[in-house]
Amino acid sequence: MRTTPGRGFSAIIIILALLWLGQLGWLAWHFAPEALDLAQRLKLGSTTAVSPPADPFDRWLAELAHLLPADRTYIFVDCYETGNYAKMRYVLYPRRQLRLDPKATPALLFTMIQQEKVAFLILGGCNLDPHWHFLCKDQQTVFQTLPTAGPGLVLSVASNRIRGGFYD
Amino acid sequence: MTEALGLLVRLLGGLWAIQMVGYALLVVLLPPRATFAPLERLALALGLGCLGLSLWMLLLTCLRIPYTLLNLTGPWLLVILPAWWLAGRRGWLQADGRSLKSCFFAIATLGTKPGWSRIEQAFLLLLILAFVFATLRAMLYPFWAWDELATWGLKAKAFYLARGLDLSRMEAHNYYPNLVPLSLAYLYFWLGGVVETWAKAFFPLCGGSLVLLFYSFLRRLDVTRAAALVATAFLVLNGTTFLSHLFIAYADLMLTYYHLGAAGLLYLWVRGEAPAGSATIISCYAGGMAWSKFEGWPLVLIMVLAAMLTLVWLRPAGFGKKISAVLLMGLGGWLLALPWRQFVHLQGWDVGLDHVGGFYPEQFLWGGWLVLQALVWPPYFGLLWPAVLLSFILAWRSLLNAPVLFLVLLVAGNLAATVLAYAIVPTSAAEFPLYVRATVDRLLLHAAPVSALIFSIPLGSLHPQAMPDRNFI
Repeated sequence: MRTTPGRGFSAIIIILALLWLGQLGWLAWHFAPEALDLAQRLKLGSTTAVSPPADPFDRWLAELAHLLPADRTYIFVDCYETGNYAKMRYVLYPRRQLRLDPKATPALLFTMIQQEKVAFLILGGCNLDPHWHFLCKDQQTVFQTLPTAGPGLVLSVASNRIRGGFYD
Repeated sequence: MTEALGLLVRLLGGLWAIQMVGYALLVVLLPPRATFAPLERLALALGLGCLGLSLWMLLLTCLRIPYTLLNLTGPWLLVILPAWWLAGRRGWLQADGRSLKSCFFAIATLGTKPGWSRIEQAFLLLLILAFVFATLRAMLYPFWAWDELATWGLKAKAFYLARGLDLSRMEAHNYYPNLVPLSLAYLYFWLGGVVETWAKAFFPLCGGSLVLLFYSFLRRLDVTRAAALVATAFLVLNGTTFLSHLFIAYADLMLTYYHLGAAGLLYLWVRGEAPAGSATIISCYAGGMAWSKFEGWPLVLIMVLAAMLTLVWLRPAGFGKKISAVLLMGLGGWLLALPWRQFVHLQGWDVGLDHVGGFYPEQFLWGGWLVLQALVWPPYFGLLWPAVLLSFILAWRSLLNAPVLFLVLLVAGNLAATVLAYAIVPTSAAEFPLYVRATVDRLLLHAAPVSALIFSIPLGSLHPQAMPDRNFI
């Protein structure tokens, strides 16, 4: 059955429509910076051009993607809160990522290297405990610093040189 | 420029292939007397295409056959070619071609063709603007949102590089369903590499199919073209959540699309107005829900429960048969989700341990309060949820004594399940509000189009002149 709307109902619809129009204005304002950026990208033709990443972390990841062989495993030591592990894992895939908290003990690190045949250790810049720095103090037989320009440190790991069990 | 043109052709080929597989399945699954409108067939084809192709990819992995474009697409020609012939014999192909042309013409001319009112033109233009923005936003930015990098995009890259469903080199909620990453990986095979920006065009297409489905349901329920366009724009352009999901590679939009398709058809079925063959499509879409996201299967159960409670309350003729039919539709969905469950079981993966702890009463209350806040917080959904609440307050008597009760129960069930999910999640007290804030908008998105149906359906009874035009455009 079809009905004709009453006055009260019409008033509610009009109020709702006015509020929605205001909301549309807010939405346009909210997305305006992105729309301007899109226009800029279209103007520059960045759909096809491979421009270098602007963020230092992104540039570092692009460098690591060239440096680390695709079939290797690496440990990334960084705070979970930075969220950097997710981006690094995505960009460096198919390299296998293992994560360690900056507060992890050396025993855990060595056990992981030995068991998982880890080839690289990547130290992020987040709240590293002092004991991590011994790894790069002098050029050892197990850890070799790789020259990269980025916010963290990359060490190659000779996992076959690590023997025995480790306890804290 | 040449490279971009080449990629565009490849992308269009991939998207067209998904649509064609879905269209072929639709023709095969529907009986000749099925009265789906061309726009509905167009909108439903995407869901069936993704479902068919992703399950085929799962089967290839089980058979240890590596993915190649030929392996992924070639066998479907055996379904597509006879289906085209069958569609031609039924006259669907011709009608769909005409409808597609008319739809394209309406969009290309911004609704300025004869017979379109100013209101219709204005709201069509708003929708076109929204989708142009979303498509460019998707295709000009690489993955940046958390779950794009950490889950869905990562899996798509892994499946493409491994030429199979191989998760051995990562741990990223491996038990999660894979319809979306497999669909993206399929597009990578068409594009010839992990070209994430181009592959993201999949999401505006998915959103477009959702919007077409929503608009078509309203037109089927005798809502005028102008009112249906206004209601559709009200769904799309309310808050940032829906619009954002048109350009980020999350699985939530796909789940929302399947949810709307299954629930919309089930609502028509409860009303006794569903086209022939709807039960099969509902089953497939229920399977699509469960195969899109971990939350999909609980939503299917809520949908089945809501339909059964509605039937118990309304007691229509043939009550027993209808209850059995609803259960069978749910069973169909379960069967389509079974291959992945079996795969997970064979891999020995733990399921859901990261989301299910015990029942924490304080989280239940706190979560409920935060969900209520999210419903009325304008940046999430604008006026959408307040409008749903308002329509319920204004018309609760008629809502509780008509088939639309099914939609009310479904939305209420969704909200209750969201609060319950927050009550059982293992997080610390400090993390809990952050966890809710990071997830509540997309959990509410799953039910948003269905809830928009609740206040849009009465628009059909407001207009004095009915416009029963099955071409819908």
